[in-house]
Amino acid sequence: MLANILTITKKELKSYYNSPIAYIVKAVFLVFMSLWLFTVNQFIPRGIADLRIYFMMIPYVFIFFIPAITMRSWAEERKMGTEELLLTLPFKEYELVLGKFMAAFFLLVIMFCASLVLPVSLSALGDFEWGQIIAQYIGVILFGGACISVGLFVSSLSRNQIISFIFSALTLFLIIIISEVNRMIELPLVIGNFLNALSFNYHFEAFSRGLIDTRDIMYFVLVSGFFLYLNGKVLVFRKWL
Amino acid sequence: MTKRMQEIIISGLVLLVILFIGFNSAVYFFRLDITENKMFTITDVSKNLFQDIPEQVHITYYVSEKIKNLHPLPLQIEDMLNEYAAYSKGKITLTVKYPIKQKLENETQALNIYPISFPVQEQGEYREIQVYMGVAIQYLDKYVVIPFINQIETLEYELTSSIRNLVKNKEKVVGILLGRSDLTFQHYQALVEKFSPTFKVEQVARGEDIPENISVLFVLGNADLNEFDLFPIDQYIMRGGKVLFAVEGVNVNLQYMVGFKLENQPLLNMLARYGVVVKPELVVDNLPVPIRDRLGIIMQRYPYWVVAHNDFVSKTNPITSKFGGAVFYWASPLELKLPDDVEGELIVNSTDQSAVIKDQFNIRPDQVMVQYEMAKKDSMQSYGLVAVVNGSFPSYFSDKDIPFRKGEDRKWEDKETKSIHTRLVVVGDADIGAALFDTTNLYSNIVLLTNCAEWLSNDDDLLQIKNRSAQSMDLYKIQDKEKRANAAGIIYVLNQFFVPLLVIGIGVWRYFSRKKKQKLYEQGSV
Repeated sequence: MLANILTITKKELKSYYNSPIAYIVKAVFLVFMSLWLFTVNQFIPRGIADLRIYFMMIPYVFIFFIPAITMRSWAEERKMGTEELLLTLPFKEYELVLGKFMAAFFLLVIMFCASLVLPVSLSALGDFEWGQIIAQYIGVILFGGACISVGLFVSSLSRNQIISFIFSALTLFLIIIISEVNRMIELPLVIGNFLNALSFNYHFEAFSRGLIDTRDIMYFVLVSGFFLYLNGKVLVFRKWL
Repeated sequence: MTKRMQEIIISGLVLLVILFIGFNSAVYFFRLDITENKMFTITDVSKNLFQDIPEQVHITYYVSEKIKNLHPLPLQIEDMLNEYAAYSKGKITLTVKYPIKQKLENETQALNIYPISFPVQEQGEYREIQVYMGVAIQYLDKYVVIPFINQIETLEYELTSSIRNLVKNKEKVVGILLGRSDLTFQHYQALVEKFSPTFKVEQVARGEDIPENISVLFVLGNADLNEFDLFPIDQYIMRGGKVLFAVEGVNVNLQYMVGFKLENQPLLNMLARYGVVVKPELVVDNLPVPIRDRLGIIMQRYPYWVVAHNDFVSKTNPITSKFGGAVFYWASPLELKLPDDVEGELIVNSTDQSAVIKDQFNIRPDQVMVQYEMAKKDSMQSYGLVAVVNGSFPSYFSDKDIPFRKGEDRKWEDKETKSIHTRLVVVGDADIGAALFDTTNLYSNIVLLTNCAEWLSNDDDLLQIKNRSAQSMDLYKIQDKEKRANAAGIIYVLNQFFVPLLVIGIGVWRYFSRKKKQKLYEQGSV
């Protein structure tokens, strides 16, 4: 089972790195985040050794970057007609789904490894709270995993990469910012709490501060698991159609 | 049953399992604070506060949006408030409001929350801006307001005790009685502000009966108290009243920069009767004192200002078990000579490098080091600075006549000669709560005094709340402007250009190496 998943993961990672997408997404991400921090937010002149402003932007960046990674996963297979071929291979649906998920997830992790240069270089100017930075990285990785599973699911529903991108971005946008409604209008407590419970951003907030809360970990793990499960079911149901 | 039906049922069950795990994880959870200074860890007293709350408590944090980008404090405050909400199981809610952006000036005015001048640093330059940073805590139709929060150190204590008092509808009152004519209530304004909203503060007049609503009495200074003034204090103690005495054995005159012994001083005699001897001497020590100036904290050596070190405090007494430090200004050493039925402990002491000066108290900063070096030769040891005593105290007036003022009718007829069980704290420094503390030591003196008040008023569990240390979070590790600008430039270029170009470079290199491999493969296959 694990061997099958790893085979798919390797194949997918190879295909990411054989296309310019992986490099472009990474480079654009790094340039954009640096611009956000140094130019838009004037991080160094402001003089506060706290990278929260950087990490709090990442959820919004994910709205565009994760769909860019996941849009081709299933949509392209369907468009090229390779999905049927994949489904006839001796892999189970969940192995295919997990393999694709792992590949996109590794891509994300590698992208964030490159971003580590930022806090390390900035530590020459001030004493950062490294525990907080570690929690922030754990948070974005879990957050990213959940976003990838949503993106993969949406991609599995579509034949067209662009449509997959747009719908993934819209879905992520809704899930990420849903708790912001609470800030804009005063809602009844039950509804407000419900919206918070659904929102990615709300569950990322504690990580951004340096706190690891099992509720947030479970939320991201369950959301990832749920969408990956749905993704697998889409493949199963499609077999019958 | 068809396979499709089976899959639908299984999918439904999986959804149910996910929901079940989700609900359970919301109930059974833990939060791990992996920051070095446990920046976000609130104490168990605060975490379990929800157990005491029957109805919902609403916390509203009023903050100016612009300050959030200029100073770490507003976010630290919000973080701590979030922790209260996170642990409260829905009993505490937090709303963050931006008074200027949301045009809420009328609402803030009604709560007595006003913008206050606050120093910020921009481009390395200091300037003051007007900002909101206040908290309103609402329970049913009652409010407690902290109009402006300018430090994080004591915030948890203020919040927990405020919420608890609000919910229990309990008002704790600290009475302040001034024992020195040169100090007015104004000199203790900062102390009074820090006491509220936990305690209501009332001034108590000398020579008057201590009002019944006073939970704890603070007697600050002793030089001008006579026996007539002492009688109501003594009788308050006999009735079980709890008192903190901040006293001096040597009165310092800042105009002439000299100190005078207070010998045979009535309040010191009264304290000796209760078991605490305040000696007419001054403690000197060598630890540098933190002095707050506009650029931050600088360390200076002035042996007459004695820094209490963590190694020389009681670890078992609740007042000092979470000790965050304190500075004593011209402190007198304390000794315990306990009467029957009284127990006591010196809970704060000077370091073992300290000494005492017994006469000729020249307090000029340029001459004090010489005096310290001389005193060290024959009196170097640790000296008591804060004492706690509890038990049944003998009255100072048990073998004396009830005092009266000449030319006035006798005010009191009866006296108690033995107290019911009660607690006293004696601090060998009359200035500990005066305006001086604001220039030193980041409010830890205030924490010590509020801890004393909590211990005296029997809320021992609130003493668990430690003094949160303020951490430097600035980007000014490199002080030299030119070097800092160079380093900043390198960091900018590295992150903005070098790393992204490196990623693209790896992609290009991989593209060409693949192409080369493909060419070789094609040539080989041909």
